[in-house]
Order: sequence, then C-alpha cells, then structure tokens
Amino acid sequence: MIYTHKHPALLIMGIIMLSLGVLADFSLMDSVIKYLHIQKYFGEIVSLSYFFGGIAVVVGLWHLFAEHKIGHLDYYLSSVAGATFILFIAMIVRWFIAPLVAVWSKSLGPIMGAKYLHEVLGLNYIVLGILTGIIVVNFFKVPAWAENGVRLSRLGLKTGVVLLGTLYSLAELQQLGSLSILMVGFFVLGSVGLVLWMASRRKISNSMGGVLSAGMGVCGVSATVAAAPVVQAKSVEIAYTIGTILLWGVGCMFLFPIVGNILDLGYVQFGAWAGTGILNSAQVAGAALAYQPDGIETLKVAEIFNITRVLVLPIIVVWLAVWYVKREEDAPDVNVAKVAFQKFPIFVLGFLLMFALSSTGIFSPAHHYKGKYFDNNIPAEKLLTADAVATLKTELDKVQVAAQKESLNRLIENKKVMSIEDDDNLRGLVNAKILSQKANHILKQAHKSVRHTAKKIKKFRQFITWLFAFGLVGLGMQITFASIKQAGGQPLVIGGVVGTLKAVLSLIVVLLFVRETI
Amino acid sequence: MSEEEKPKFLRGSALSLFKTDRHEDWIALVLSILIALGVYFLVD
Repeated sequence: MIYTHKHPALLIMGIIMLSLGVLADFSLMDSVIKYLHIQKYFGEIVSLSYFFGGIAVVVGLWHLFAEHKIGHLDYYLSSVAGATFILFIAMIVRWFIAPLVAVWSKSLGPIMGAKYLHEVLGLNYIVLGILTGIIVVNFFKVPAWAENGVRLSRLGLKTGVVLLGTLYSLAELQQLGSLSILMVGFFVLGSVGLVLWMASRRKISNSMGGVLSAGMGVCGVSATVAAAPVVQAKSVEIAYTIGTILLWGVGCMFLFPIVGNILDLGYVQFGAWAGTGILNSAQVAGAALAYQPDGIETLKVAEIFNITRVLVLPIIVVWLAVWYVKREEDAPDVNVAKVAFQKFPIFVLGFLLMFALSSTGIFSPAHHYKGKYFDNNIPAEKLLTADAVATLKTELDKVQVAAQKESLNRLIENKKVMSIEDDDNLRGLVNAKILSQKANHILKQAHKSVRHTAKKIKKFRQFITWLFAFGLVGLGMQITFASIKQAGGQPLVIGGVVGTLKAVLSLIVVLLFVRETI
Repeated sequence: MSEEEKPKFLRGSALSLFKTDRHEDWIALVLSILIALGVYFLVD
C-alpha cells in the first residue's frame, strides 16, 4: 500500500504558514496582533511559521512530484501532511481563535470576581482545539491525505507528558504545609480509588475508568492527558473526561462562593475547600477570587492546595499504570512486577526521570514551581529609588493589616522584598486597592524584581503547550458523534457522584479541622 | 467494532503510526530527551 497522496494540500498549507510568518515578521499584521492582544505570541508566530512552513513546502513538493514506492520513506513522510494539517489548525486556534474568544469575553466584563466568561467556561486553546477537531471530523471529515498523519497525535501527547515532569520539583512538595498534603493526599487518592471502584461496579471499561479517575482525582486537563496513554484511553474517553471536569468546575465556581458565604467560612477555610473540591486550576482561582475579590489570602491558600494536588500526579500515574496492567491481564494472581516490566508504559518512566532531573535543580533553582521562583539577590539598579521609598512612606498609615504593614516597612527599610511571605503580603495589599496607583505600581515593580522565571522551564512550557495543542486537536479529529453516543452517560454520572462526595466531605473536614492559619 | 477501531491502515493501529504502544513510548521518550538536551545546552 502506498500512503502518500499526490495532493497539493500540504504545499498550500506550507505557503500559507510561510506567508503568516512574513506578515508578522514585516509588521504587516500589527493591527491584528494589537486587537487580539497576542504580542506575547509574536516570537512563535514568526519562528514556528517559518520552520514548519518551510518543512511543509519541501515535503509538499516531494509529495506532488516524486515517484512513491512502498516502504518506510513513503509511510513516514506521508504522515507529514496530516501532522501539518493538525498543527495548522492548532496554530489558528492558539494564535487567533482563542484570543478572539477572549476579546469578546472581556468585552462583557468580569462575571466571577476578576474572572471573565471564557475563563469561567475554560474556553482556552486546549478546549477550543479539541472542539475544532470534533467539528472537522463530524462536519467535514478528515481528508484522505491527512488520515495517516492524524495518527501521530498520541505521540505528541506522550512526548508532552514526559516533558511535563520538568515543571515540578520535589522541593516544592516539601515546602507545602502538612495540612494541605494530608487533606489533598486523602481526597485525591480517595477520589481516584472511588472512581475506579464505581467504574468496575458499573461495568465501564478500564480505560474510561482510569482516565476519569485521574481527571476527577488530580486536576483537570493535564492529569487526564497524562493518564490517558497509561490506560490506553480512547479519544472519546479523554474528551468525555475533560468535558465532565470542566462542566463540574463551572458549577462549582458559582456554588462554592455562595455556600462559603452562607456558612461564613474564613479565607483560609474557603481556600482549602476550593483547592480540594474544584478540579480545574483556573476555576479554583476563579472561585477564590470571587470569594475574596479585594485580597489575596483565599487565592494563596487555594493555590497551595492546588499545587499539592498537581504534585500528586506522578504517584497517580504510576498507580494507574500498575492497576491497568493488572486489570487487563485479568488474572488475580498476576505477577505484578513481571507484568509491569513487560507492559509498563516507558514514557511514564520518562516523566519520572524529568521530574527527578527537575528536582535536582539543573533546569531551574530546585525550589521552583512551574519555573517560577523567588530570589532577592538583585542588582542595585533594581532596588527601590529614594523617590519610590518616599512615596511608600507617605502612604504607610493607610495600611491597617499588621502583617502587610510590617512587610511594607521591611520593603522601605531594605529597598527590596525580603521574603516570599512579604511578597505575598504586598500582593494582597495591591489587590486590596488601598494605596494610590503610584504606590501600587511601585509594589508591583518590587514584586517583579524578586520573582523570576527560569528560561529553560519557560522553553519547556512552550514545547509542552505545542505538543498538547497538537495532540488534542488530533484527538478531537478521532471523536465522532457515533463514538460519543457509544460511550453513553455513565462517565458523567460517576464524575458527578464522586465530585459531589469530594466537595461535601472536604467541606466537612474543613469545618472540623481548618482554622485561620496553616 | 466502533468507528475508531476499524482497520484503515496496513501498518500501526487506528490510533498510532507505530507498530506497538511500546514502540511509540520509546519514540516519545527519545524525542523528549532530545528536546531536553536541546533546551539544556541551547537555552541560557
């Protein structure tokens, strides 16, 4: 069988990509970039368009004009057309459609705390990418010339999952409070176990149960994507899980603040509850900000719980890998060690390897989280100026909260932020909008001076973003309406039951054990 | 048999270009190690 199609599509996509690169590079689409607020993507629009456009043109010419024979060259190079098709859609979604949705959403104004509609609904490039893939396959059909390459999407996801390990570090886990570790550990492991148990009782496939357990237990899309290849989940099962999580999260974002207000929860209590009970990171932040729009204490606590939950991911991935192998072997006395050696997904070891490497600090200081870290060894030119110090001194009396006042005093005294705690207190002060615009600007600059992003981790994030975008658009292209119908409504029921149980039980634990300090 | 399980290709599977899942895992691992090495040595 010859896989290469003599079709001009790849060449045309290549030319369009190159044109996009030229338009951006020579400032011919500045007005579009400005309107969509995509200045941050400028570098990748130029470099990725040139790089992949160039490849697409060269291989496209080969597809059209070369003689093709059965063999590896034909088989693998024919996949470039489909891979470029997916990538092209991912580019359009990430650079234009998702920002356009954000612009429209922002024009409506914030609806939850400081969060906009698209943030509440989770309409980012990931979700929009999957939706676009679903639309393509169901309304237009994947073209024959692209079919072979669409099968590369799972490779993209797996590679992204391995690199995901670079974003976390063991040191970060050690710094977290013991309460968050205990509470999150209990609820994450409990949710995963409960979903797996319910899935087996309701005769749902191991792959569906496995991927849903990771999504409901850990947090949203990353966990779902990481667990999917481990349990060999089908495209529709992954989409189902992501849909369940997002729907659940939207409901929680509105309900949690209402319940919190009725029960008169403290900021720490609400942050702990939201960080445990809501699944998606953005939605956790949304609920926390909705509960405390004029401060950062709730958000900070919710973030701590959220980070703890994400850091449990490596444990869950290994657990699911062993669980799945054992279940699929269908033998109660299976030799787990032997089977695990034979069938354990190698890329999971890669994820753990990257996590271990990241923990040693070779990519960024070891205490980083997702590449961000605190370091106040800054050059003299980044210290506060005499004028800035004078401005802050005149506004000192406006600050009523003792911790914030102490942090501000230390900032004035040392001309730089002295600790992570001080930085958090000063962020809270800015958020409270007590000081003048000028003073807030000074505080923001002081914050920026001591918060750093590791360049290597930033680059890893870019790779992960694109590998996930590529993988998920391709995944969307494998989801037909027929397959959604075939999956049935059981996963939604299980997700709803487990999510509700987790929210209610974690609220009880918070009410019983959480005080206003951690 | 669901639509996504129909054999459309003589090589690989409906979801993957590669012979086996383990084969695909190895490729993913090698690719990510290459990316990691690139980032480690080239990004300052």
